[in-house]
Amino acid sequence: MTGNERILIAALKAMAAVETRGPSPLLEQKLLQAMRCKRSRWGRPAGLAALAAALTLAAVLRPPSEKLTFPPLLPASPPALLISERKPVPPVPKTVKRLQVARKRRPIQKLVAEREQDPLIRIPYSASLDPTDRAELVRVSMPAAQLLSWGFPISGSDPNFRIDADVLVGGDGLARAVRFIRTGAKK
Amino acid sequence: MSDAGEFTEIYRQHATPVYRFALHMSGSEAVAEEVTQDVFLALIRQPGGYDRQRGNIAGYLYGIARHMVHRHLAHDRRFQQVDEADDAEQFLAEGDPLEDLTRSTELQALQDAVLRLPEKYREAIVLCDLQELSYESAASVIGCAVGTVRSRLHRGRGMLIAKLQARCTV
Repeated sequence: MTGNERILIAALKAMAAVETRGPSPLLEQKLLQAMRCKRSRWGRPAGLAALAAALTLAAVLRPPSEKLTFPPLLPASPPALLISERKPVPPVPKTVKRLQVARKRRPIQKLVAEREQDPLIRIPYSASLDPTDRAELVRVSMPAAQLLSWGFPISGSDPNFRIDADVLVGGDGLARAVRFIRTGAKK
Repeated sequence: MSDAGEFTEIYRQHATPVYRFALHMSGSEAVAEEVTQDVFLALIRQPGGYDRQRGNIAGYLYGIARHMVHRHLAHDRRFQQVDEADDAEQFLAEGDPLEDLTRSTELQALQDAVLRLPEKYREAIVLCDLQELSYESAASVIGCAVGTVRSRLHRGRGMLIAKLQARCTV
């Protein structure tokens, strides 16, 4: 080690020794708070696991929901044997045809499924929901001005124009997310 | 990290060294504060990340800090845009600059010179000479062989001496 190197090392040690700066005192408090939040959120693994298990069990054991039945739009077709013996079938009236097409195009189950697949849009700057929080999905009809107040860019000049939507409301009563209902998908 | 008491103890013991490592590496108090916060948040969020068999907690925390400092430096390279002329004005030593290094103005110049070292040499200097880690600990933090730390340290010191001598002759 040369003389210059020794002087440099001594100077570096002096530089470290005179350094008085350190993390701000608030940082420790912030970190402790973060630690408490984490523990309160995840500190009940047994309870969460039990809840998850109960929900899964309930879903598995739940009796199958009754199949929706719809009154037949067309009279039931006669057995094939009878058809062969019968005279040619007269053409179906136009009104019945229209009903048949409508039923094929938009069955209710499909509409419901489509509605469920629509994404919930988070309301800007709303607090996030804790996994343990309760939330409720409420169907509302609200003026466009409400969406503007939430921070959604709405085109159009009429603020009283009403929009149907499902609103996710947290346990504290504040709206967190919204799902717009497409026209024609209303129950 | 099972309880707040244990965390507080670790924080009070290691927060300042971690902060100063980040400060000497970046030259920015804001970066040092942020890195310190992120290091301990990582400890809170991933308490299983620390394996006692692989080394002590200080080495683990320095390792996280090192990654975060590198990320900051990669993101913001402004620390390398120091004007040489300004440095020469700051450095007011007369005679042999290395012998006057303990004066405060020269210490500031030395700090600036450290900040202008390439990162791999800077971290060796900061860990071994400023933070006074052993070569083995520094090698563990950096993730290289002890011999590599020695050679980087030697090269880094040589570069520092050359920078300081060159500045004095300006």
